[in-house]
Amino acid sequence: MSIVVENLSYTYMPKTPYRTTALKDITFTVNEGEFVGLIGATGSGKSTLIQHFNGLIKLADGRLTVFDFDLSAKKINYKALRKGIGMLFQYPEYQLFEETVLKDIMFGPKNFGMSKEEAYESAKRAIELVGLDFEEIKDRSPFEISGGEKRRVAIAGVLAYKPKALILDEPTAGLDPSGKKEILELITKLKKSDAVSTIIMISHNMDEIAAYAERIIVLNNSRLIYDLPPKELFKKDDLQEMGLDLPITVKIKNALAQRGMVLDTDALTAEELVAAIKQKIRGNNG
Amino acid sequence: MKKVIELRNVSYDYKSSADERTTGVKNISLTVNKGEFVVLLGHNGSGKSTLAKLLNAFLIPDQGDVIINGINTKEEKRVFEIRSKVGMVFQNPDNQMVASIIEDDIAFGAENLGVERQELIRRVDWALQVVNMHAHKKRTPFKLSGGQKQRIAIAAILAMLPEILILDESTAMLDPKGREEVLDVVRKLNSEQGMTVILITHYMEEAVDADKVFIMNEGEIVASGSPREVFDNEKAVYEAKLELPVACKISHMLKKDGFDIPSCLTVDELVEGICRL
Repeated sequence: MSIVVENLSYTYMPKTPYRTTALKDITFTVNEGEFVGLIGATGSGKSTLIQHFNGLIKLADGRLTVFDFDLSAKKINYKALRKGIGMLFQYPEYQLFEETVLKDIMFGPKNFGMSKEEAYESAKRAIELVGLDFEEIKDRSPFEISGGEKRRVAIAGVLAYKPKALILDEPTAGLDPSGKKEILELITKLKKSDAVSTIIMISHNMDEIAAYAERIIVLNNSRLIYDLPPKELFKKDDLQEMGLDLPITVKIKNALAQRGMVLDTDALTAEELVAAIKQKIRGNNG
Repeated sequence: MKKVIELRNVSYDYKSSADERTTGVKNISLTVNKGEFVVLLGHNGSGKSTLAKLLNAFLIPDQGDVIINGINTKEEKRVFEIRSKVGMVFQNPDNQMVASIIEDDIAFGAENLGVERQELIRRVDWALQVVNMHAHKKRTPFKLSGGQKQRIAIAAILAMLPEILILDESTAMLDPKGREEVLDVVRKLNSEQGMTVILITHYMEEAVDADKVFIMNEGEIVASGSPREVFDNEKAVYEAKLELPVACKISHMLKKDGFDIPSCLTVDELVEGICRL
């Protein structure tokens, strides 16, 4: 098991008139090798939750184990913890800062104690993993490459210190359709290649989370409401009340049901939905 | 109908050094009439933003002419006249705030145009009402959500009384709720105030109720027409590295399988089409 969360609660500015509850009694487990989606409206507690995983927010209430680290322990080796958890914030390309792509990617591994040679090899491997040409890009400024390339370089900067788990906060935000697809396929490839074993992805795009996550955790008003596989989750009828969108295929299915055409399907892709519609129509006419 | 934007064979290259050039846009001709809602689609780097910058004289074409409200953007002396008529809202809401109080932020642009005080106060109130943010007038913009910030950015433009509103991927960084808030305001401005709108986006769904859609690829316009005409041209859409709206894709799939269903743009149309089968 890689991440175990038990009865975790968190309040910002406790014991002041400004206290706000961000998380309340959250319990779930992420197993090694899983691709977990984390969804919830803005302000539901997603960011507060993931910032616990690498100790950016100190555990205040409940229990949390991240790989071999018990975060309720008195003394925690935060550096070692953070090396295991690759955290990619929204718009990670805004965090690029070095003169060259290579230097930027080597920054993380060097900080985690790798020698210059090791860091170089590691950066090279990371650049290749994200599908960029090492020789072509290594000496360029991270500020003069395209938007899609910048995001890949930012991901490489995290992969270079070889984390066990990757936490991605809206990795496709702001990209065009083909850029989105490229990043999602890259993430799937990374998981298959064992470059990282466990992935947690936050997204507001339900079509993308339905297509890529194996399990989805839903937060609403600081509480965990659902922890289900996509096909089970999107059968629930209260997601919209939580300010969540639905995959467009589910919207179509629901609209058809309102018109009296009830499809017996848990289809999430356009292909699955078309198959179900065809079956229904042919069944009716035949 | 009155033409507010006219482009005649417009080309623009970016020159990074004496012999290095990259194409921005290539041989573009188009017209936009007053009050139209126009959507410009294209992948990153397809030339959409270059086109937008040519419309308010940020960039002057290498070849061809850009005519805004009858004024050629090459007439240097009239650049400010053009910019006061063409308001632009950009992608990142955090980069567009200039003042620490919302009403000051809204007043900034109009004040620079020399609008006198009483009129300025009237315009700020009106603009905040249009974007439904009047209750926040005396607060700071920095604590707002992304969707609220973009509405403030739009109000700041409105206070300058532009005739054309250009939104350059202004919804790209917002969550679904924020995106809907901004689009609602823009649709309302178009239908109630008759504002000409150019919406640049990669969300195909945002194009379905436009009057006109243009698809750009490698600096050129590769498809144009009503949303239906454009999305029926599946080949052009995919070649431009874009996708069809999902409802549209499903209607095309059913049609290919021999079902008698028209090309649909929205979920409602698709459901109607399927129920008639």
